[in-house]
Amino acid sequence: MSSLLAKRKSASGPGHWGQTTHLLGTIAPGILWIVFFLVLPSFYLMSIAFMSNGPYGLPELPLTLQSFRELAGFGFLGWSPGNLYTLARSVWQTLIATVLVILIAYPLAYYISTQPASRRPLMLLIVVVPSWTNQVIRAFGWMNIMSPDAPLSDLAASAGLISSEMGLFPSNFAVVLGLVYNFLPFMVLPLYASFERLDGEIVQAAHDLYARPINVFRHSILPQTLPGLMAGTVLVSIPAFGMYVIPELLGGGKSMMVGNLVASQFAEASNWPLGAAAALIMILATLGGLMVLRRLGQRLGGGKEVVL
Amino acid sequence: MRPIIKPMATSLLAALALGGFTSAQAQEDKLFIFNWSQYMDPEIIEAFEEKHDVEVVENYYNSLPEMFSKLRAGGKSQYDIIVPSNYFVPRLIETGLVQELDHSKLPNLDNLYPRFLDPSFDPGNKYTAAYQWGTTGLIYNKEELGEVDSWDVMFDEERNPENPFSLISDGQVSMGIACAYLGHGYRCQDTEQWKEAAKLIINTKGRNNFNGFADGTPQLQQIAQGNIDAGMSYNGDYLFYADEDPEAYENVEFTIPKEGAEMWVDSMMITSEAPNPDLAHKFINFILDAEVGAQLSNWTWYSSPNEAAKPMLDEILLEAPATPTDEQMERVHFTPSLKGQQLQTFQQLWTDVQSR
Repeated sequence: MSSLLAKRKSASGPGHWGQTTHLLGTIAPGILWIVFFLVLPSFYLMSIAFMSNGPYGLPELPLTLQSFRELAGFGFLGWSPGNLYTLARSVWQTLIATVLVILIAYPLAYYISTQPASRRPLMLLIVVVPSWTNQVIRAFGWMNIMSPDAPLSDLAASAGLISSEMGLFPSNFAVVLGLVYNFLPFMVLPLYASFERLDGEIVQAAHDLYARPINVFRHSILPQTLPGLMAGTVLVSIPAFGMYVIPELLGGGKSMMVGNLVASQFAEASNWPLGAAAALIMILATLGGLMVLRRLGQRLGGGKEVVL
Repeated sequence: MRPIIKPMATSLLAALALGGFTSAQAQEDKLFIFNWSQYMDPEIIEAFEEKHDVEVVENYYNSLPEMFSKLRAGGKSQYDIIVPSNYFVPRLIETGLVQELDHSKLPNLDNLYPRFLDPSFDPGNKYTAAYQWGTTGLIYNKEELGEVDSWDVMFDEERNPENPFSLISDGQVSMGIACAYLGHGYRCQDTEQWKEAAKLIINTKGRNNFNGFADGTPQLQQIAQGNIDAGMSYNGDYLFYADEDPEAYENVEFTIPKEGAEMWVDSMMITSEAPNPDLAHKFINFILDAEVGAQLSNWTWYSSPNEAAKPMLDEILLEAPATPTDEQMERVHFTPSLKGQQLQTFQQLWTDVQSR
């Protein structure tokens, strides 16, 4: 490294050398942080995923693909789809939760942006305030709200959706509700930022050209809010996919997601290689999801500003 | 055995706390205890600190796997004393996380009932000294379900078509009672019988009134709130909560179903690289003292394995459910200690049960 820098120095003179050290000084902490706390641990995790499971759950040599086979359901007791159910359930619940969050947050962010400037900070604050309380405590709050004799459960029971003895949790419904509630602010804030910068003249122009309302939205509003929408989708769907606390508390073991599968393999099930393999699949699924989102962003007419 | 909740937050905090301790732990006058939460009378700690002029630092876990993972991640040199349940003892010994006890430093060991000396999970008490014992039974709301004497309130759809119930998140215990219900006995260890039990639990999970898996203590709170009408919990915790709030637990009963249930012993052990093994022996001997043993049980509401403490125990601890009747004693069993391929088989089945 030092010889390389020395060569640079002699080649490009003292001015560049100053710039280089300056640049290094600026980015080095960030790079070191990422290397030590992201890259190295990820490699460590990946290497565990390819090891065999020892008698009490510790990874051992030789290297093997057994964990991935187990993840696909091929255990030594014959094929069973349990883990695949969990993966599919995670994708499905993330998808539903993200769509619901968008449906709620989009009008909400628009509404806030149309309010007098003096009132907006307060409204945004109201959206954000719940997340100042610990996630676990809020989940316990929902458990109380959805317990059997609470009004919400009574309502659902009188509509014939659940038995009168039961509460609304634990269930898939409770998990999705928890996810939507938890991640709403992460969608509202970036969308609000987009709406705030919305160029009204373009919308006006669309109206002047007699575009139908659907086309006004499609061609003038949506592309302008796309950066916020995409950023919000990423901020919501990625943490939702790996969520641990909400399925654990509101799902009651009936609605396990991949985050819980990973946690259980590192803790009670004592199978670190399987846990690492599941975590690896989780990372890959997240990357795949990002690529799909990027495509979608481009398809919807997002330009360079749709940074993904 | 009194786990509260096990969210990530507590583990994180514990991890941070652990990091902070590493530098200070070599000190001679400190004893580090790693125990279930709410399982130790603070006055006992104070008395020990005063007697030996030392400082006792307590850390807590909410589940045995959590304790096991922390010991493996370096905890074996950070704590002196741990208090695991019977079926985790062999795997702690085999993985070299604990050290043998020096009986010459534990004269009070003789205070224990003969049946807690030389237990099946640790022949000759080479590694363990009993701390407290209890049962994991069935809790139910008698107003909603009437008299219950069988696990059929969990597993028989016709017996209980509507009332919500939970199973315990400890896989070996839930599978054990499913096995018992199927007639294979609580201690079943045969793969085919396990598969049958797993199938039963998976079917049960699919029923509308299954309220999920939860730890024993939260289930006691849920049954008081009316979230569930049947569940699984520990006898001592049941008594503790019923005493705190008699009204809420007026209709809640604790029973040992006819098919059988779990009995457990939590034992004190010394970690293999304990910073202060000498002081750890002193502490174990202190707990085994007749008076201290009685004080401990009177505080935890669990039965004492200490025979010499019996005259000083509260009346309620000597009758069921704190101490099972002779007839109930025939139905309660230790959870088997699994190892090797058998443990792997079990884990795979249980992971499948959970992830379905």
